[in-house]
Amino acid sequence: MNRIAIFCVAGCLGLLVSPVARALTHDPLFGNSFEVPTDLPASDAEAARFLTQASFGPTLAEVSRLRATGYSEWLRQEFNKPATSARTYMETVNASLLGAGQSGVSHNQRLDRWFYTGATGTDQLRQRAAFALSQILVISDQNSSLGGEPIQVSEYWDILARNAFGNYRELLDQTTWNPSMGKYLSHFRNQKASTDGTRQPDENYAREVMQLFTVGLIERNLDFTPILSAGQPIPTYDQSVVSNYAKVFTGFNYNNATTISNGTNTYLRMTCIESAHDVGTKTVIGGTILPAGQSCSNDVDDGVDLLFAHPNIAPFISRQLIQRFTSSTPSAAYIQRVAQKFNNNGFGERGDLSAVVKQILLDPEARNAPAANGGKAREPMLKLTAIWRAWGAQMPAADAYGNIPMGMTGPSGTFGQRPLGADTVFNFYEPDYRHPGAIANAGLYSPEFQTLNESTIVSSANSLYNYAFNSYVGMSSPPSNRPLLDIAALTSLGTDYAAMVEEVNRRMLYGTMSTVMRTALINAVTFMDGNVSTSERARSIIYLVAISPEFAVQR
Amino acid sequence: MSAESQSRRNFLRQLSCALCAGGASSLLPQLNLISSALAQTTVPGYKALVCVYFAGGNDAWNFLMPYDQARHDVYAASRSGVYNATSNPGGLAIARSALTATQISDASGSYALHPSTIDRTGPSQPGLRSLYNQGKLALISNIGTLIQPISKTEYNATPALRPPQLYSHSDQENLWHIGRTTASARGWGGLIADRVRVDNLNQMLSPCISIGGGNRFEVGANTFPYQMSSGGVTNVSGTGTTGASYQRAVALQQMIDASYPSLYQSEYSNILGRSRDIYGLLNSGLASGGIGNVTTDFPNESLANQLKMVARMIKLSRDTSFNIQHSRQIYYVRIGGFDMHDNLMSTGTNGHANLLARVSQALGAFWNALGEIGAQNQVTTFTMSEFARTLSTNGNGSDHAWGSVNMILGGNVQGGRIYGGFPDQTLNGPVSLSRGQFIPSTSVDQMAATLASWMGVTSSTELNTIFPNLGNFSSSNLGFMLN
Repeated sequence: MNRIAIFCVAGCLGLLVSPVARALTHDPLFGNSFEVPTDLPASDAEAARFLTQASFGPTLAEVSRLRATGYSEWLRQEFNKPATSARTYMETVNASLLGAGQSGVSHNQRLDRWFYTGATGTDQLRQRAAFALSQILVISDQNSSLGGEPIQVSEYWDILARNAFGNYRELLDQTTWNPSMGKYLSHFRNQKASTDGTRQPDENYAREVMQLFTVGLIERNLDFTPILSAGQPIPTYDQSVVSNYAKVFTGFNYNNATTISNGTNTYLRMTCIESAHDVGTKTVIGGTILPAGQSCSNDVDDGVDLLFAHPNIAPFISRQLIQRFTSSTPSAAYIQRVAQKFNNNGFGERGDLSAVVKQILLDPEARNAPAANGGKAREPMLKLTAIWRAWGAQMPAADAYGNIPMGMTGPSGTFGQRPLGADTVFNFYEPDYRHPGAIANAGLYSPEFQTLNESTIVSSANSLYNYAFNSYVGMSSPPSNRPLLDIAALTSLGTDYAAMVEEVNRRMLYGTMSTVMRTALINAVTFMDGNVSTSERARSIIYLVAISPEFAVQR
Repeated sequence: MSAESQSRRNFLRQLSCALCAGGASSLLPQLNLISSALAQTTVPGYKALVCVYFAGGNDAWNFLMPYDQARHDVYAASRSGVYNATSNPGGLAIARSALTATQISDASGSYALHPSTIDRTGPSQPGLRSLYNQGKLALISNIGTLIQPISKTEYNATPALRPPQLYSHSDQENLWHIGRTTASARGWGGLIADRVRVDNLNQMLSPCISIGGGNRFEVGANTFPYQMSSGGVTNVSGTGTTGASYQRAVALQQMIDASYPSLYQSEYSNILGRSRDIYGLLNSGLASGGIGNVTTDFPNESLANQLKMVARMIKLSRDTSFNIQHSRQIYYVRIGGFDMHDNLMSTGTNGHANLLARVSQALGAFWNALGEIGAQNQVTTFTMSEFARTLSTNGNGSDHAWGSVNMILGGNVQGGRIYGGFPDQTLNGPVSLSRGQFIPSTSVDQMAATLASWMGVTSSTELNTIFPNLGNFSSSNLGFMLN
């Protein structure tokens, strides 16, 4: 058994080529660029709503582009954009710093780069998808082994971005063999059992690659509902499967290592030291036995192939990706439609993430008028990027070493979120979280509410106060380490406060602002004393929208 | 109207009924206190639980170890020998000689706590070892999630008798929080609070307060945790009582008071509104120079900072001159980093020794702070963690296991004892699996029910409602609380 064989089992219609090549070759939309688009957004508001789901926030320019191209062509263009690299940027800044006798880059520059790319990157959908994947295939710089390795962690981000529209099997391969993942989930330098058996292989990656990255804990139908036996869910695997997968994931070390303990620290794909790899038989998921004497790479390929072939993976991964883009509580039918695309992109390929993302965004449940409890809470960091993009924020100048500072080096404390910086492999929040009270009682899921509480709701608001209300073009002594909002479109409206509120509504809420909210905002700026500047009135509207219940949820 | 405001009204109704029974003067509870105010400035009969959660699965068998030579030898052999950075880097045992300073004893024999549990110096404060020797700290050994008592034979033969999803972080943490082995959105702390919160004067502030983030433990049927940070409470910037900031505050309040079609929007609105309301309640008490200050020196790290805020909130909540006056509270704090598949024996900040030193010093400072505010007998602190870890090594760490050791600390605790019995640490022994995962001999539910009783939930019907599996165990009270 090998990877190719598993691919054939999964979908034999296409040629047996590598998953990545396949994902790029048969693009069902290719011909559409010569035709009049048939799926144009009906309005700017519709376009902006889509871009809220599919990017780091709508801009006026993107709304125009999407209205001209239609959804499918916009997606096709996004799928074909190359990834904005974090790692090469980090290497350049690092070289400048070291050349000037400074200490090298830290995760601060990595976060600067993340926010800058979110705010300005042209590969918006790809980066948004990478962010979604980074919350499933979690590594974190909060782990001591990665705290000093910002370049390596940046390469991990780039792997997610490069493969965001590739094949999930390829992504599993690249992340499994990535040294930062190896250190984070401790299969790096994991060894076969000692002769006397007192040392056993580390079970960390073995457990989490199943529980979190592929199949989950219980058997699922295609629509994610649990399969029951005598009324009870059926565990997907047991401890013995974990122990056996721990044996599969033995022998990894740095790319140029020749023993289990030597080698040079690098972001390059790990190698496997055969002498440290367990070569016994291994009974893995589904009771399949990997034969004795296989090479490390064959064992890993076969073991991961079996996880990738498991029927759970499509609903398990699809549902989480839906939650990251469009909906906290997708219907079973929505999950099933996306999972079907995971299982077969229409060309016999399993795991094509571009087909998955396309279905998530174009599904009727994402495009139809929102249900009362549809949509999802905005992720706090995405509120900030959306505000920057809505107001054409002016980016800061690069520092002497080429780094563009975005001022957001500690978002965990304010937003409860940090790119590749969760507290644990369970991410900032869990897909099954239901906020106690009305949300839970209604049977809704609400991952983002797990980190939203009486404390973080204010720390987030106050960060937006600093970065939106108090950072704008034309202010006296502007900070040099963060973008500045361009509010000319509002101040030019003078005392027409209703028009001012409407412009904020258009850019930040795609026209969905309630009457109560509109009245409250107009009154607030109308009743301010005469000596309050037009700028402050304008920024007050932006700030109040930014911290409002209506902006808190993308519907 | 939200479910929460409904529940708040129910509580107020219950409260007023309780007061009616006490006569007219009790309609203003403060009047009751006037006669005793000169001598007693704290709410009488106050009790609080403080849960300290060790996230990731504490390697508890390097927290409590046998000290007598014979059993230490077994322990060391099961942990691949005594750790030595050069000669035995995969070993996970602590040398017997390193344990001399933290020896403890129990009727069942001689033990030691981790060397990190020595007293703090600088400010002289007790470590966990001293608190044990003073009889204030009890240990519960080989405690874990259970449906019912289960033998090794039954474990192997009948998987249905095992708690669901053993060894999974998220699932096992959940079982510790909910006190049952079937799905539930509620935790045993919250369910206790539902039953004992009625005498709390200020019902706007939840009796369940978390400084450690969201948790299911503190969620009840009618009780939801109030979450704050160890820095206290903060106002929403740009909102105030004068000028433009007043106009912004008015607009914000109008948005909070509005109704929304989406439950996600209305819940966000509820949280924001509650945050502002409770800021108004707590700010003066927690401000510099406010009555919620304590002077005890705490280490400056996350867990100690959280526990310091707990001590401050307890002080504020008991003070009869302040508008909280709770008689029952449940707190939750959290320390992460225990998932040590790697670096268990590291002496750096990422090692177990450092984590346990933080725990020991934070709890020692907390103990002293409770002494400062006169609440040592009123507050019982306990630890939870999703599981212990394998005795056997994976090279430089340990993997997920099951039965563990947890602590109970308080002036009302019958401490200086190990409850539950210490297991035979042979790998694949009578109560252990091949890597030294222990089948628990004591259930989470038994520990929790003992604490629930102390908090005033004494009826067996109520205890069995909160802990449906409790009847499967020989005792619903482990006896570690004095009254």
